[in-house]
Amino acid sequence: MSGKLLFIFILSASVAMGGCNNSQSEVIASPSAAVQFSEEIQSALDEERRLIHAELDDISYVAQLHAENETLSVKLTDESIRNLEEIWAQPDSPLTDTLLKSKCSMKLKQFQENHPEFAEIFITDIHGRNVCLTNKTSDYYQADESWWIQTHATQDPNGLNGPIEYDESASTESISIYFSMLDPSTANKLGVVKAVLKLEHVAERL
Amino acid sequence: MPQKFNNSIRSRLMLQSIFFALVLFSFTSIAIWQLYSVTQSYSNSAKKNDALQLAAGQAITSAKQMDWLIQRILLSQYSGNFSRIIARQGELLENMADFEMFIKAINWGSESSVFKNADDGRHYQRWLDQGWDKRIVLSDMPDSVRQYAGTAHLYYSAFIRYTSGIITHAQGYLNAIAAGDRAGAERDLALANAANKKVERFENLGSAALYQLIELTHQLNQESLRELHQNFKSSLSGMAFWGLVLLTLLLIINRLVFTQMIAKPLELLTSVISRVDTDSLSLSIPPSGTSEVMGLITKFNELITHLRNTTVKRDALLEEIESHKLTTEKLLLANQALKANQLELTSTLATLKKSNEDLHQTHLQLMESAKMESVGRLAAGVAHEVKNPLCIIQMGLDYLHSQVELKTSAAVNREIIEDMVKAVERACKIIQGLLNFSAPHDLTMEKHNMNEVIEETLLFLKHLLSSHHAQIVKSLDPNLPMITMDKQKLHQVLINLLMNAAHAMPATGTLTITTHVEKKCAAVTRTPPLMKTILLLSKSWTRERGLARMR
Repeated sequence: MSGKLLFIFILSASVAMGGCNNSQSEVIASPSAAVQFSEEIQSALDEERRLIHAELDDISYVAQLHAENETLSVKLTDESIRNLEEIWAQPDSPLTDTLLKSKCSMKLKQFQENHPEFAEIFITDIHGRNVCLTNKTSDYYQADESWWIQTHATQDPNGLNGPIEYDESASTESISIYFSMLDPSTANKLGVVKAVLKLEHVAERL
Repeated sequence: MPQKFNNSIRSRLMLQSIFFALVLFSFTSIAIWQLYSVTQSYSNSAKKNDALQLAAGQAITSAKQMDWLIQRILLSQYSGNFSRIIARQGELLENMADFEMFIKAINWGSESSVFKNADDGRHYQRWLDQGWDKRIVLSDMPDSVRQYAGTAHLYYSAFIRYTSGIITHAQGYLNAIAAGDRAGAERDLALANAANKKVERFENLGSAALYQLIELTHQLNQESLRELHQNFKSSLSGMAFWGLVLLTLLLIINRLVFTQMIAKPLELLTSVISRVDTDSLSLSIPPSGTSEVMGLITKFNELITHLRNTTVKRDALLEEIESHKLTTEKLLLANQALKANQLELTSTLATLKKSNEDLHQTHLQLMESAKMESVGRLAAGVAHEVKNPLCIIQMGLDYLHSQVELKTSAAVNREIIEDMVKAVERACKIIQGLLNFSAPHDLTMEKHNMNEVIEETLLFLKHLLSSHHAQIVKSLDPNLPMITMDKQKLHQVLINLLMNAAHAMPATGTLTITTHVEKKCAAVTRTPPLMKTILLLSKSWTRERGLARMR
């Protein structure tokens, strides 16, 4: 008698717990990388985009991206990505140090110093790996980010605008701009660029 | 027997009550905490949204106020009061400062900036000071809110910049007018109007963004409220569910405890008790359950054992009683038979008594006959003995008679006469003894010398012993003591003995009669040529001075 009662209790508990879990579940929408602003803001962002485009037309960035793209002929596996991320997360990772001290990264940092409205700039290769960067990013592999996927997929040469975000490292609000980096000679995609603009500087351009 | 505390029903009930109380307390605490968390979550969200709405509303109002002031400044050029109106720029700048704080509060500023600058937000600050909620952080707002707030920040930043430009150009316009620089004045006025268009544009864009922010926060509040309802409902259903779970568990535990500890042993006890009447008494219950139940079972087992032992004893007693009944019946039958036998024995005894009397009479008659026979024999002896004395007397008398004639001496005469006297005395004694022997008499106990009794008896039997050629040898102890006896009876005994001895010696023999004193007995022996007989006479011989022995 007690066994039957216990079985009924466990069955009802399982059903009830399932119902509770369903009622508490919620869909977390992935952040969209395509944000539409007013024409004034869009105009200001385009000005910044043109500025960085001019910088990235330098042959050193193109050559670096070519070289990185050629080192990897096959798609990275999940396991290799996980291993790379673990190496990247280490405090004194040689991978991080190598990339931050690469020629293109140094040149990019020089550009950032000349244009302080950019809080952060980094460039990935066609596979989503970091190639040139001004600051150490939280992840090494960016191809699993929604902004990277949408930017890589879009045909708009101006790329996309990111949402207004709060940059804790810079303690300031910011807007990101994303666009694909093209080979000046062939117009083929070499990688994806993300540039984080300080909001105050954008406001000054309005 | 004292009950162990940790196994008694009372202790288990106490532990169970404590356990139930703890479970109930835990469940109630969890439920209250869950309801508090749900409510607090909504409260936090609502307060954040309210703060945002408040700041946004203040920002819009402030922007509208600034816009109105700007329009008044710009319109004053046509009314000639431009300089007076421009003097109000201080008010405008003050509004701008407040406005900037509202915007900063909306955009990632701390909540304190909101509360410090909003009149309606002061009670929130009071709440914060009281520690009600320190988790209101605007930077944690959803992306959509952040987007509107950031956009509004952009627009109002431009709005402020262009407003400042208007003021600058208005001031430049006044300065140019004062300096008589009409071209400069017109240029500044044109720039002020151009800036005004930007102000209008960005004020509209910023207000729209803030209205959207307000609408969004309103929606978020609604969603939070719905979420609150949902969470509240889920919490209630969860509490009801877990309450049911706990209740079920408690019921199961309760049932298990009472079933295992009380009900099962009692059911077993009841079943055994119900079987006791019909089944054997060899049943026993293994002790289990609480100490009280175990005690009950133990007592019951002892009772059953006692009952079994009593039953065995009762059966044995019944068997014994049955055996006794049978024995009693047998005894009754035997008693009846015994009574019959007793009657028969009584009858037989009477017959025997009569026969005994007859036998006694016959015995007396036989004794009398034997006596008569002895008398006859004695008479023959007496006749023989009397004959000789008489002959002697006869001869004596004859001699005397002749002597009388011969005149013999006087001495001879005396001897003869003396012999005649002795013979006559002997004849008299014999005759007297014969008379005594034949005459019945009572027992007369007197002290006599045994040797004399023997001599007197031999005198009676002299003739009989001579006829049997028996040689009499006497060895009589002269120192025999006087013995208390019935002399006549003892004469009869000795006569019978000596007669029997004489009869045992038909041809010849020697009859030795010896008397002497021994410690224990006296004996008379007769020694025929080829045989020797020892006879014990009587215990009465020993009572005086020991046994007299005769050979």
